[in-house]
Amino acid sequence: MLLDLWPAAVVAGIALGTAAPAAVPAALLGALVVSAGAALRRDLVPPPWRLMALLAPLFVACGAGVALLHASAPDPLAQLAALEPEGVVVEGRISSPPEAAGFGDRAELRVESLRYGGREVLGGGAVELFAPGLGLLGVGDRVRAEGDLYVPEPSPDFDYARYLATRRVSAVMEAESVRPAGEGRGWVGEVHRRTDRALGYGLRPEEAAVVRGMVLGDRSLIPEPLEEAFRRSGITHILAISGQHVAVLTAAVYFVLRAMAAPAPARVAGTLATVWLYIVVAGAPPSAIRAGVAASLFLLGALLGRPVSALHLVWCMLALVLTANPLLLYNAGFQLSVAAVLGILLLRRPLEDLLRLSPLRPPRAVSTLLSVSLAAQLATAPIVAASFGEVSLVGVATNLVAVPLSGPVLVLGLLASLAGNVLPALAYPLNYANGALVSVLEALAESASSLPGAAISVPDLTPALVALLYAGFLPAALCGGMFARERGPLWAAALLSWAAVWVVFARLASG
Amino acid sequence: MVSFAVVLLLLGGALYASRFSEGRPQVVYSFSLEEAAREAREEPLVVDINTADAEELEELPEVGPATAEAIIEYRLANGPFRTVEELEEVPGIGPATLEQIRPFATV
Repeated sequence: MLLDLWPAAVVAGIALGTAAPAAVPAALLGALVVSAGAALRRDLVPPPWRLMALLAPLFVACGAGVALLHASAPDPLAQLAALEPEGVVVEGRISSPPEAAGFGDRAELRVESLRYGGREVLGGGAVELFAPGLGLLGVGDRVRAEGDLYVPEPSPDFDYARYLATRRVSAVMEAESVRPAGEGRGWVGEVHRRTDRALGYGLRPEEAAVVRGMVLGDRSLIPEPLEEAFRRSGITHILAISGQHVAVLTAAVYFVLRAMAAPAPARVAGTLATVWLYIVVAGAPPSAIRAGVAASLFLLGALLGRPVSALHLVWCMLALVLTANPLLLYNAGFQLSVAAVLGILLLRRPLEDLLRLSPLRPPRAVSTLLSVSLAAQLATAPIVAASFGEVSLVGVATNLVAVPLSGPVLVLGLLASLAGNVLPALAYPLNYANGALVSVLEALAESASSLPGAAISVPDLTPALVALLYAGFLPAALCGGMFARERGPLWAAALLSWAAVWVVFARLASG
Repeated sequence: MVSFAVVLLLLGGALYASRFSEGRPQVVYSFSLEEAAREAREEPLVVDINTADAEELEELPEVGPATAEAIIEYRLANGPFRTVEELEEVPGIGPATLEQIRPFATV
């Protein structure tokens, strides 16, 4: 009996319960109809899937229940902030790398105690803190801030309060001053400061900023024009901590431990400990948490001798991550991460089959690389367009160079950070090698972004247009399942045509 | 059975994450938020040092029973204070104490 669809049913329940609660009764009713049909007529559902059909309402209801539990949870910090109180005193720990902002600096602050009107009224939760002088502090530093609280109003283009909620931040605090409290410095901030020092040995500031972004996920020092060039050339994802970073680190640590002849349980434990330590130091972005959970499930499944289906693993990861925080559905970084993975898993094979039939007949390694890049670009294009108002047309080509380079840049950056803290002289050769690679990446981004038509603007994209593009991907995604694999090249060609038409249509629709 | 166990685990995890985890704000002192907002916007208590009795004078920062008595004795001996700064003439009140008292005192 196959129950592989249970996490997909849970995720569907969570998604509907979070984004469209009114549709939950209809979804439950549909699941009950399927279940009743499977119970009453044995030939209605293929026998291996009968148990899944019978239990479908249970899993959909579970997902809806998870969404309801989260939606009904009170947020006293947001309630207090809605009154826009002044003179609030907050003590807590910095939980994200401080970045320069219009009003001083910005960082997330995990609240340990909040005093108002002379009394401690709240504990726990988090605020987005704007204050001068935060740049001198680091992640984990304990501070005391006094200022005003408020909940930001949504703008037509962007709901900032909801974005903060996806990161479990309830309100914004503007403070005139922040000072260290208690024992002060945190170990994560110390790691960031030591990494900054180590990356300074032999790297120019611009290249050090790029490596810092790829190693620590902190892009605040990357010059705006360079960041724009990376975005227009479709390779901005390599500047952020993503699933690829976690995958590279997981593979590197695992194979080092295997080369050291560590037993399998020690290999898995060591790899997972290193990966999660890295995720914490990098500020735990949603995309890294997703990849960390997926890596954990994969390694533990392999250790237990359970056969691992990549698609099933992705759905299990989604069910777990969204159970902890359903609002991640609204986080663009999380959406991109999930879309890229699902795109590669579902679209790579038909695209590769199409490339192998082409007159060029590229070598297998090239066709695999090209199909992975194309699948990821296609799957993320609608989300990039909806979030940033533009689509990169050169991303498929630039990613062929950027993605293979980003792995060595990350590994060299991590090694230089470690070596530089032991002895600065050890960091220089590593940073010199890394500087050459980063220079190639910068040249690639700047030259590709300056090409005419490198990126086209598609502002004001509606959810209906996004759904329209994904609907056209379905036949290719279902090849090997519902449709015969031999039809893959045909559906892949249809997919590419559909994507091209959609780009033109979206451009015209957005004026 | 396993399916029900998985469902219970997920629901339990969601309950913990949404209400009890360290990342969720918890009320420490329950009060009317509107009342607190009004309180915070009200003007701070100001003491008229020429008419206040000892109990009222003890509301001032850094003023205990002995200092309050000293203020009253000075007032009786020298007449009403002409300015808040004259408090510095009272035994037990120096420049630092005067700075603390100044925002909450008037004549």
